[in-house]
This record gives sequence, C-alpha cells and structure tokens, in this order.
Amino acid sequence: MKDVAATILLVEDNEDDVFLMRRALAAASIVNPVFVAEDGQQALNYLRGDGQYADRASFPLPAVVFLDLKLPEIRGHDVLAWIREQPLIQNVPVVVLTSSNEPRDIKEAYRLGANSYLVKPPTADQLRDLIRAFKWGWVAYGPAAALNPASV
Amino acid sequence: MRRTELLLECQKKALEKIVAGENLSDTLEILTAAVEQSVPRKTIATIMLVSDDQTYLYPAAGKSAPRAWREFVAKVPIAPNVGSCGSSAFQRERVIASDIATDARWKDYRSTALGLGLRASWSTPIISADKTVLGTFAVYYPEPSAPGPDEIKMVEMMTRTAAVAIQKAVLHQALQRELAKHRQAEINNRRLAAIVEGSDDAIVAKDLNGIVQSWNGAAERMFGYTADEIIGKPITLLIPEDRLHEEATILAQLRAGRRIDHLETIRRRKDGKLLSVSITVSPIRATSGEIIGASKIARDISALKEVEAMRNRLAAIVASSDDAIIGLDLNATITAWNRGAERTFGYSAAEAIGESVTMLIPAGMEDEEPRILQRLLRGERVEHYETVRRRKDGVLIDVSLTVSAIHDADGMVIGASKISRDITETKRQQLALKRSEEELREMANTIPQLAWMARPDGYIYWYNRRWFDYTGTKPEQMEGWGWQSVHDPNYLPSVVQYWKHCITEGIPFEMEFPIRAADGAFRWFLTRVNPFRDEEGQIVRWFGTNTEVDELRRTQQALREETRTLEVLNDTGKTIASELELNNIVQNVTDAATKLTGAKFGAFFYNSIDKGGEALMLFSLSGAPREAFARLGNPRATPLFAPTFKGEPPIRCRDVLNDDRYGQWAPHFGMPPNHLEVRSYLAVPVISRSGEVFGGLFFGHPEVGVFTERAEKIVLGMAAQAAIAIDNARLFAALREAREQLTRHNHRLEEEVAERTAALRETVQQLEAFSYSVSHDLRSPLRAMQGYADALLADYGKTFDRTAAYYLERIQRAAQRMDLLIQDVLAYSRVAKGEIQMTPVNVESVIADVIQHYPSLHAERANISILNPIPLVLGHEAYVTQIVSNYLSNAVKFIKPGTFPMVNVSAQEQGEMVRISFRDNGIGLNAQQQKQLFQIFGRVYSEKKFEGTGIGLAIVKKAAERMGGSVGVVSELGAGSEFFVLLKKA
Repeated sequence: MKDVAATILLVEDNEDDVFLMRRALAAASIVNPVFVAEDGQQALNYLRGDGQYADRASFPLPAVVFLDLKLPEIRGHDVLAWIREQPLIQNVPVVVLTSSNEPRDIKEAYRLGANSYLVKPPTADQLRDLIRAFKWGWVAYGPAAALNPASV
Repeated sequence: MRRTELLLECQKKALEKIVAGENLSDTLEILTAAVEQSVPRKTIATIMLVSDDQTYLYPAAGKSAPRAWREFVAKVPIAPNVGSCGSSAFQRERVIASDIATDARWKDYRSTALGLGLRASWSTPIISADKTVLGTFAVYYPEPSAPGPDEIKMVEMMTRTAAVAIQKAVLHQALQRELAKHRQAEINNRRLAAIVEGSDDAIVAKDLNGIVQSWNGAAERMFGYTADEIIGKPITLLIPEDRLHEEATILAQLRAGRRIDHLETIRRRKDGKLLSVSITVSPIRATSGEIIGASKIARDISALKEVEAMRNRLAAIVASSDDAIIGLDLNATITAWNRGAERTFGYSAAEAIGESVTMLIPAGMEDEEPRILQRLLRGERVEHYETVRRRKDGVLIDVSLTVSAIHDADGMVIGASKISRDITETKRQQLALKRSEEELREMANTIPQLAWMARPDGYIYWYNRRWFDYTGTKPEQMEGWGWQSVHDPNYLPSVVQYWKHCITEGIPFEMEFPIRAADGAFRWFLTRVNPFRDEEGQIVRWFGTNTEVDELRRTQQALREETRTLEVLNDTGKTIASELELNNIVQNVTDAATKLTGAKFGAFFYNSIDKGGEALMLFSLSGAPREAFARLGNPRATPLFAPTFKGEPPIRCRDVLNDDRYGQWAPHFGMPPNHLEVRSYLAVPVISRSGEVFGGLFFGHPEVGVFTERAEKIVLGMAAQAAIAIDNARLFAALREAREQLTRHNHRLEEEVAERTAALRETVQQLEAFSYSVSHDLRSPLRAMQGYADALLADYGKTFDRTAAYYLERIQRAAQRMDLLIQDVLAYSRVAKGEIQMTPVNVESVIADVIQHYPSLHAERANISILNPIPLVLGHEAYVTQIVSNYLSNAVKFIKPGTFPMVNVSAQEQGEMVRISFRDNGIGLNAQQQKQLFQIFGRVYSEKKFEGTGIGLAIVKKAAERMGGSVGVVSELGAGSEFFVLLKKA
C-alpha cells in the first residue's frame, strides 16, 4: 500500500460544494484520493471501519478530514467531538468548512477542536496555504486533471 | 401648661405639708425648688425669714445655693442698701439687682456675692395678711440678668404660699408654748387637789345651807361616810343633837365672812361613835367676792397621846419647816426664830430674837402688826393672811401669815406664834397661770382654725369664737356632744365611732369630714385632736382644731376629674388617630364622649342624603342597644336635628321638652313612642377640614340639666378629632383603593410585558434563525453560482463570443453584489444585537488602520488629515472601526469625478461626549437626502452612479447608538458634507 497516496476524507452533503472542492484540489494539483461522506453517519461509519469500510485497504484512515458543520442527521460538531475522543485518530487534522467568515462561526470551529477552517468555496490558493502552514508531507501532486461533473 | 401644672403641684404639696404641720424649712424648700424647676435658665431660689425681734433676716430655704451662702446671709440686717433681701424687706417691695457688680445696694456685699458666683439677684418680700413682713423670696442668677414677667408672677404665687406656711408655723409655735403653760397650770391645780386628798385632816366643803359639797379621804376615814354617801347631804349628819346650835352659829359667822378657827367640839361618826375634833372653818368666796360656801378642816384630837406625839412632831416640824415660824410676846418682840425664818427673812436667830417684829414690816404698814395682835387678844386666829414683808436685804416679799395666840396655862394670851410663808413665787405662778389660760383662749380665738377643748371623757366644754362664727351656733347648743348637729349625717356615725375609739385608747384623732356652715353649706375640714396629759400620763384635756380643706379637696377633685378627662381624651385621640376603620373611629368617639359627658346614651349619625331628602344613618351607639334606635327609623331633619347636620353650632338643652325647636313636626310632634327617654340633650356636628358635615354626635339623659358647658367643649374637641380621623380614614380608604387599582394595573402590565417579551424573544429567535439562514443557506447557492461561473469562464471562456462573455460577467457581478448585500445585512444585525464591551478606544489609530486597509483611502487617492488631537473615547472597538470606515469610504466615494477627495477629521469635546466630524469636499446632500440617509436601505443615489448597499450608514447609526452616542450630518448640496459622531469620553 506504500504506493497508494494518503486519503482525504471530505464530509460534505452539498454536491456543489463537493464539486468546487474537487476543482480547487485539482487546481492545486493535489491528486490524493478523496473519499466523500455525504453525512455525519457515513463519516462515522467510515472512520470506525464499520461494515463495508472494514477493509482498510480500500478505505484507509484519512490523513486529513475536511468537515462541513452543517450536515443532516449527525451534525458536523458531533463528528468532530467524536474524532477527538478516538485514540487512533484523535490527532488527525480536521479542517472545518464554514459558510461564512463570521467571527462567530470561526470561533466555533476552533472551540470544537478544529485545526483550521476554510470559507466555502475554497480556492487552490487557500489549499496551498494550508499545506504550507501544516507542512503536510503526504500530499501527492500530479498533473491537473480536468474536472467535470460526470467524474464526481 | 406643663410649668403651671408643676407649680400647682408644688403648691399643693406645700399646702399639704403646711396642713400636716411639717417642718417649715422643708415646706419652703418645695417652693424654692418649684421656682428653680420652672425657670428655664440656671436659677437659685432662696427664702429668708424675719427674726423674732424684726431686725434681721436669716436663711430658711435655698438648697441649691452654694454652701457658703448660708454663712453669708446668716444675719442680714433689714435696712436700706443691704443687698436685695435686706432692702426689699426694709422697703416692703420687690428689689431687682440685675447686676450685683454695679448695683449700689450691693456695695458692701459685692465681693462675697460675686465670689459665690451670684451675679444678679432679685428679692420679693413675703408679707402676711396683716401686712407684717415675714421674710423674703430671693432669686439669684449666675449672669447679669433681670427676671421676666413670667418669673415675677411665678415667684409672687410662691411668695403667697410661703406667707401662709410661715404664718402657720409662727402660730403653731405660739400655740405650743401656750399649751405648755396651760399644762403646767393644770398640774399645779392637780397638785393642790392631791394635797387636799392626801391630807390627814378631814377637809370638807359645804355651801351656806350646810350641804356637803366635797369630802376627802381623811374625812371618809374620820367619819366613816364615803363621799358618795354624804355629798349633797346636810353637814348636820355629823353633829350630835345637843350641839346642833353650833352649826347655826358657824353658818352665821361664815355669812358674815368670818372664819372659825380650831373650834374644839364633838362630832359623831357614821357608826354613832363620838369624836373630839378641832374644826377650822373658812368661807369660800366666788371671784366676785361673794361667799358661796365654806371649807371645813376637822382634826381628830380625841387621843391625848396622839396629841402629845403630835406636839413633839410639831416641834420637829417647826424646827425643820421651810415656813418661817416666829414667836412673839405681847410687845411684838421676837422670842423664837426658826431656820425657815432665817431663810425667809435673812436674819439669823441671834440677830432676830429680842428685836421688834416691826423690822420685818415695810414702811406704811407699821400698824398692821398691832392690829393682828389686837385680833389675837380678842381670841381670833389669823390664818393665811397675805401681806408683804421686808427681808434683811430690803427686798419686799409676799407672805402668807398664820398667827396664833400663845396662851398660858390659865388661858391668858401671852404672845403669838406666827407662821410666815414666802408666797412670792406662788403668787407669781398663780398670776401667770391665770394669764396663760386667758392667753390660750385668746390665742385659740385668733387662729383661723376652729378650735375647742374637751374633758378627758370627750365632753367639749369650750369652743373658740371661729367655731361659733362658722357654724352660727351658740355655746349652749354646742356644749358636750351638741356638735353633732353641725355634722353631715352621712359621715357622723363614723366620726363618732372613731372619736370614741380615740378617747378610749387615748390616741390622737385625725379625720376629714364636712362641717355645716352658718349658711347651711357643708365644707370639708381636717380635724386633729391631741390629748394633754399630766405627769402621771393621765389625760387631762383634749385640744382639737378643725382646719378647712374644702378648697384643697375641691381643687384635688377637680384635678382628678380633669386628669381623668384628659386621659380619656388622650386615649381616644390616640386610638382614633391610629384607627383607619371608620366604624371603629366613630364607635370609639361615641363611647368616650358618652362617658365624659355623663350621658346616659350617645349616638353618631352619619350625614347621608338620599334622593328623597335627608336620611340620616345610625352609625354607632353607646349606652343603649342598637335596637333602641333601629326600630324608630332614622331621625329626620326636624328643627331640632337639622342644625347639627348642617354643621351649625352645638345644641345643648337643659330640658329638651322645654326647647322651642322641640316637637315641631308631624306626626309625632316630639319623640316617637318607645323613644329612649331624653330630657338633657346635646348635639355636636362633626365637620371635616373641607367643611363637609360628616354627621353629628348626639347625647341624651333622662334627667334634666346633665350636660355642662364643659361637656359641650369636650365633645366639640372630640368632634374635631373625630373629623380628622374620619378624613384620614377616608383618605386611607381612597388610597387603598387607588393602590389596589394600581396593583391590578401593574399586574396586567406585567402580564402584558411578559407576553410581549415572550413574543419578542420568539421574534428575536426567529430573526436569529433568519439571519443564520441568510448567512449560510442563502449564500450557499450564491457560492455555487459564483463557483460554476468561474469554472465556466476558466474552462470555456476562450470559446465564448463577446455577448456570451458579457452575460457571464453580469451573472458574476450580480452574484457578487448579492453576496455584498447579504454581508452588510449580517453586519447590521450583528451591530444591532451583538454583545459589546466598552473600553477606551484610540480613534486616531483606528483611522490609521482603516486607511491602511482600504486602498481607496491611501494617500495617492485621497487626502485625509486629522486637524486636532482626538481624545480617547469609550466604545466597542469593532463598532468604532465600522463607523470610521463607513464615514471615510463614503467621503471619498461620493465625489464629483475629477475632484481629488479631501477629508478633514476633527474632534471637539462637548461635556461628557466627544464630537468627531469628518468633513469632505464631496457632492453634498439636500435636506431630503439628509433625512433618509441613516435609514436602512436609505441610499440616496442610484447604484449605477455610486456603488453601495445602502446599509452602511444604518450600521453607523446603530453602532453609535449602541455605544450610547449619536450621529448626524451637516451638508449643503454641492458644498461637501460634514458627518459626525458623538461618543462618550473615556
């Protein structure tokens, strides 16, 4: 599995936002595989390795989690709190995706234990700033791939 | 008021002490203390008394005077210019020395007085009813001062009381002295009686008819008759038949004023035994000199041996006798001279014997001795002959002589024995006794009290003149127990009982009871009776006085009544003042007034007027059951009742049945049947401060003339109190009603507020939810739009023709503007309801930050200058930043194209605030624009012309208001604008 680049877990229910995220990643030439969990429950299942996600070869633990707070069913806040309680993954960086740059929302993200935040939609520049700031060595760069909705 | 009460109280106390005969000084101290307590400043009051010889004054009262004062005034001459007291006693008028340091009358006494701390003094003479100066009442002050009219009045009042006290004391002393003298006289009388009783000779008194009047113990022993058996019987019982002629001779002698000496004869005892007796019979004369009887001394000489023994005894007696016993021969030459003679006349036996007795006889009386001898020679005996003799030293002495003839064995007179007793002292005493008895009676006649004397058994034998003057009786009516007729029958039994008890027990009597005056009225007297005893402790006489205390008693009773009235008034006043229930007030007043007026019953009628006319409502009733009125219906506005309900003056009828206003109305023409019986009638209106008549207090009594003027005044006072209380109660009721209304209203308001608050909270929550969805959900699709538009332009931009590219650009611009709007709305809502923390803010550095942050404000694009230093303000930094950034960016934005933007920032302190203004050279604003400028979406230019959301100044206004400040604009179209903000100074 050595050759397989570290996985990015994107927890986001809005397909537009998923598209724009993927587009930003592509624009920033990041080619790590992205697993999209469409709600909090799915994110928990994935992180716990429940059911189909027990196969860590196909569903490895992520190197970073991009987490939208506004999610149906289980809220993003609960997902974050849960992660911070799991010995195996409690140190995984979590970047919160917020709808606004209101101070209230930003404060809230940090309060819950987020490592950073991004105002949606994220841009390639913002992603590159993040990588630089956190010195993420696991990021795999490749040729920018054209994205279209069909590929999502 | 209080001061007068105090004075009256002291005066009363002093009068009581006077009546009780207590120590004068103690009584006077009460008066001085009364003055000192009543004068509001530091005062020393003193009383001086006039000495017995009327020459000087000596201190009697003045407890609070310095210790040395008494020494200072120990003997103050009554003379002009002797301080205040000496001068006032001399001049018999008030003397005021308002400054001792300068007063001429104090010249000789000044330094001592000032040394005692006495700086001013005034003195009032105490003058008795008979205008004698008794003493002075002096008042001292520590500072120069003169008495006020009040003080003078007060002291005059006390001076009058002092006069009474002093006079009483003086009289009391005199009386005591006289009584002591009288007692001595009594003792002497008794001593004589004892001598008579104790004599071994039978001593018998008889009248001129020979009837026995007195009979001593020796007579009883000698003749065997007891006093009871013989008194009132003829003396002839004792005379044997053959000697009855003797008695006729004796009586004849006596009537002629002669005495029979040593008639030796025979008398018979009760048991028939005959006795040899020697009889001396002397006439008894009344004060008029008339002979009213005889005293007879009989000596039993039946036993010769006894005579012999007696002779020997006599010889010894002669030798040792205190009486001078002198033997004379017929030439009046002294032949015998005993020791008594030596003592009486001062000559020794050796000097006297052989001398003529005439040496003892004062000049002008020389013929007396020969006459006595002549009488002796005629066989007469001279006994108890009172005359005057001269002692060796020339002093004349009163003597009582008894001269007897000395016979020889043949019966020839050969000389005389002469017993001479010095009676100088006895005579003086007798005279004094008589005088003292007269003086006592005279004295008792002059004292203001009624006085009398009674025998030991209570039989009153003498009254003073005052008694007869007061009672209008005559001595014969009063003698013995006749006094009972002037006593009040209600008190008499207890008086008699107690008097008899005191007589039996021999204890002093003291009691107060009424005695009827000549005018038939009874007045109260304090009666004191003291027993006088002889040396053996036997009561010899009772001395009684009756002191009138009627006025005192009446004053006391009036005082008690007044006090009780005041108490009831006070209690009622207190009760009704604290009472807020109308019913209770009215009941209290009715009860108290009924009690105080002496009414049988009282009622309060409330003045309520119904549509039909005047209907009166019974409110409370005292002294009769409510039914007594209830079944009669309400009193009507008859001529008798109506004035009271109209608030006219009180109506007081001695007898309502005789009142003109009574019985005027049909159908009853007077009281309805079954009405409580009313003769005395009193009605007083109860009128409020505002003049409204609340109602009336009505009182009734079945007897005539019960209600006095005083009762009317009391009720008037109570009605006024009641009116105030009723006013208060009404006010209180109104207040209570208002309070309740207010409470209800408040309650409703609170409920409303709670409801509204809840509604508001809901709204706020909805608003929050709304703004949340605005900021998140509304922007979400917007972001997608922008994202996809960007993607479209990036991926396919090259294939678009110009129109397609223009459309895409418009979509992007619209989305951008939409985002801007949303962000401003959010900013506004944050400012409107966000939490703020007020801290000192440096506006100058905020301006610098803002300039740095906005490229349009940089120096190359705009000229922004701060004209004067801006003080620190108290605010929320983020809001201050909002205001500054909005003002500055507006200032450079709204400007004529081609004009270089210039902004001048200046600050000006206005009290607690700082006014910071931003003056630009922009396009300016007209009045209409200025009005709507600060409203949300209140933009005044088309968006085409100037970019903006129209929310910025609304945010500015809201932010300033949240910080306790305000905003405004001064502008003229085309002449630039001045935007300002007022913020609190830090």
